[in-house]
Amino acid sequence: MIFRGLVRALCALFILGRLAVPAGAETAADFYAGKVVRLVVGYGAGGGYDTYARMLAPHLEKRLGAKVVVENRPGGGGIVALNQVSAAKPDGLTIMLVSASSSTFSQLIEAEGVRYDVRRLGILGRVIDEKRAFAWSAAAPYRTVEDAQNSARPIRFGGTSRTDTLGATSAFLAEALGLNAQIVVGYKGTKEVSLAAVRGEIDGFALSDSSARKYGKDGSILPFVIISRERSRIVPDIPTIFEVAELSPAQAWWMDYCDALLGLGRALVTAPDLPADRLTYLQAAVKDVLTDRAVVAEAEAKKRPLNYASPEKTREQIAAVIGSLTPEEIARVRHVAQEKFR
Amino acid sequence: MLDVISQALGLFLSANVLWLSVIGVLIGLVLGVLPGLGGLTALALLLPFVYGMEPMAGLAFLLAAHAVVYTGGALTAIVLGIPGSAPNAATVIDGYPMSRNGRGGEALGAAFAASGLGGLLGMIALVALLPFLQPVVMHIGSPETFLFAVMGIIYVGALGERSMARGLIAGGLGVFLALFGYDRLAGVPRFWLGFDYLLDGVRLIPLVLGLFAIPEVLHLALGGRDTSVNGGRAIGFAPILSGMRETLLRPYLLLKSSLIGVFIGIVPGVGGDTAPFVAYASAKQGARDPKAYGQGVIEGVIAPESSNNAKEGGALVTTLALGIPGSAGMSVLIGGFLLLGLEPGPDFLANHMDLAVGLALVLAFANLIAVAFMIAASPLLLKVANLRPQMLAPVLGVLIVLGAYAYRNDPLDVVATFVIGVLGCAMKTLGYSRPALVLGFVMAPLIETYLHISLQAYGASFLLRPGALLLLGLIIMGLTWGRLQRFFLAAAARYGGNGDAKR
Amino acid sequence: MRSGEIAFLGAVAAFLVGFCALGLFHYDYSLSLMRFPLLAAGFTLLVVAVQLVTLSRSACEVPQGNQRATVLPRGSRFTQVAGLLSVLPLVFLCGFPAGLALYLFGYLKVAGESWTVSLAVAVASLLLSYGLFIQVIGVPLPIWPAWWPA
Repeated sequence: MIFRGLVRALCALFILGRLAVPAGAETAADFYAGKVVRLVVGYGAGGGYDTYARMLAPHLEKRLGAKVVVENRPGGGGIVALNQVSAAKPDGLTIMLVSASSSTFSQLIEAEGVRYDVRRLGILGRVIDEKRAFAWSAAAPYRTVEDAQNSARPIRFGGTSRTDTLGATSAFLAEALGLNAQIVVGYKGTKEVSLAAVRGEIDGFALSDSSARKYGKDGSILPFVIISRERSRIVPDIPTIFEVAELSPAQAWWMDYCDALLGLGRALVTAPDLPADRLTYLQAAVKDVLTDRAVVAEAEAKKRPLNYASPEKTREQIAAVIGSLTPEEIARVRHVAQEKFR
Repeated sequence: MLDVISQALGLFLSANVLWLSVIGVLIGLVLGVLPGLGGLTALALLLPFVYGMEPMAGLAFLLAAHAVVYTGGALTAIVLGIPGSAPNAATVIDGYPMSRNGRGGEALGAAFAASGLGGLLGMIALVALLPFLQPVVMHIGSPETFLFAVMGIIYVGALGERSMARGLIAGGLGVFLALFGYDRLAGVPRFWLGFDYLLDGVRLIPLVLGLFAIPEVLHLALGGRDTSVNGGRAIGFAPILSGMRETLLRPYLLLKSSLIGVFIGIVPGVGGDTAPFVAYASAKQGARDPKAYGQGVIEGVIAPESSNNAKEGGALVTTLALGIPGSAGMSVLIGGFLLLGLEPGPDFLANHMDLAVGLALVLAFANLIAVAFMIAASPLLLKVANLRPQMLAPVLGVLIVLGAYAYRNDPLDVVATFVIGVLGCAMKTLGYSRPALVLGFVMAPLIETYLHISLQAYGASFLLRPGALLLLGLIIMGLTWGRLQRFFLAAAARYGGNGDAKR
Repeated sequence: MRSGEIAFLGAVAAFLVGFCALGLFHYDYSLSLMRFPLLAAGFTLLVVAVQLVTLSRSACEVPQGNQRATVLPRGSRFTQVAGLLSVLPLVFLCGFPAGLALYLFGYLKVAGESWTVSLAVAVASLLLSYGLFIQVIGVPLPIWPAWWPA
């Protein structure tokens, strides 16, 4: 008797308790349980971004409690996919692995078709940054800064597309050192540019530090400097531009800017204006995955290293590169990167 | 060298590798036959599966699938007039008329034999050239690539079926269409009209599907074929075997077309897609009766098909030795390498020569098995072609829709395919060469880019480089060879006749 | 056929001239950007002009098209084409797997196939699009209709 009464009371309490909980108090974890999160990649299958995404997807799946599916959406050099992601419904179910440096650069030079704003995106964390090196062709007559500055003819630097950061890096270097240079764009990728350098078709080019280690081995490409204030962990033998040349503050500005731009590296982002709890949940999951020692080790083994930076730091860096420049500075960057060395 | 080969054999003859190669071949053939799912899409779709496999096994799987896509594509090209993928478009020119004249079985046999043998020759070239490749490619710079592309586009006129003017118009239109979208040189997309879709311009797969597949499907729906393949009779193996024999009876053509395929495949940047067109045009130039091409001449099937498969060997050389993708398909293959933890390039060859040779073996093996499969399956597959056109049409339509979507996961590609289909129907009805348009489309960006690079890097004197001069010579010779040959023959005949008459 | 070809050539010419004009005057593309398109368009227009002249001179030239005379009356031709093209709106309205299956079923049934065959083919297409493409290969075919507020 009493027992039945007790049960009934407990049931009533239980029901009342459920009713008392406000309707939308589902936590982010509950929200993601059983859902499908799309990890968008703005390039085709098999590329560097795709491999990073596929490597991280299973780990993200475990942390989020949702199924993570990699989706390739090539087009416009990644611009189209980022447009779509940044305009998507802010429900937290679409995240993207972007080249934060390329995307910011495209926005900076107002490349056609850019409809996103990197400053407004939901940043989840940086996956890997990039230090850029600069290399001479062994066939070119330049070995030191003085050689380059005293060159009789325009120095030919190689680049891929006019809206890409590869050619722009050479442009920034040329501007910093006051070189008489010409950026030859049109090559399909870094490999092709490096081959052109080996052939002597171009005199020098910019490349990632990891590529510098690979290509510098047989002596046909001569890594020259690292464009940064600190040496690279991957190729610690290459001096920085600051060690090799005396740069005035104005000149140093270009090199620092270049380093900051490329340091944005690759990042995980999502649409702007996400509900705060879901954004935090995603950011926490991303941080867990990217700083997990096992994952980092696996990434190193696969030659896809990780170097996590928090969303706040990434946002700061983005602001430094695009947010805090005056319109004159932006115009100057655009001029140097795209027009001056045609 | 011998121990490398034996190591390679060891890698190759493992159960895993063989098994996966066979499966790869099957998948590649199926994807090749389905219109829209061509080599590039096929490889991209298979890539995620490779994750976690052993290097040799995973690469064998990818390579086997990719290498035989064009063999499968020949089937739909010949029987339905729909190229399985862009390079098979050249096979349509003579293969499809052959099948409508009742010689479909023969065309298939010739195509398969040519594919298999071409693939073998490509593999031999691969193994022979691998150690020497670096110095050779060092000399193939932007000027040479530019001239290769020019050589490719000059053959547009030769594809003009009945009228050169029509071929040139088609090619010119193709060139113009290629210029839409983002241009590496200026960093500005041309003619994009504010549509995200057009940021990259017109894309190859919707173009090929729209030009070739849509008109055929419409044709089927509108009353279909008046004569089905081989007059509706079931095809035995006899015509297929006779077609194979025809291929074997033309070793010079086979060798020439395969070599063209290998060399075009090697040049990075040109992309092997043009190889079958150049091979076709070269066969037509050197033929005794060029006018017959386009009506259903078996050489018009042998030449493109053998170069199609041979070019894979060539492209693989560049990919393995330099890490530079010779074509879009190869760049996905490189992605496979990266997924498996390897990186092709000079280092790779130094450390993994056995793997490279093993892949060459896979290439040969895959080509041979593909031929065997296709021949065995042909009678059955041809029955499909004899199905009621009203039934075939919607099924093909569904395949086209799926294939167009799978290319870039973009639903607008499907719409674009149908829009381009209007152009395709018009061109088909009026006799304008659609392969010429595709050729112009593929070559134009190369010409613009590499001309620009050559001028910037070398100045106008880039034409005086030894490689460039050689290619210029080849182009001029190629253009005039036919005419020169006939001139000399005519002169010889006249002289001989006079001599006789005098006596 | 001649009037058809002349119309086609006219359309091609209009297309080329139109886009070049758009680029030069409306979008203000630089000459270096337009160099190649202008070259290509110019060359093609030249050949188009030549072809138009040839057409107007020669008496009824029958081009070697691959078109055989269709046996169907006009009205039926239109419905056939419309039926074939109905795949696009169906896919838009119902999502890919359902749309394609419906399309096959409807088309085959109307074309006179039996219930079993039409159903079988529709089911096969479901297996292909949903089973193979979406689940096995992972191609993100839109399952839901485009207008679904999902």
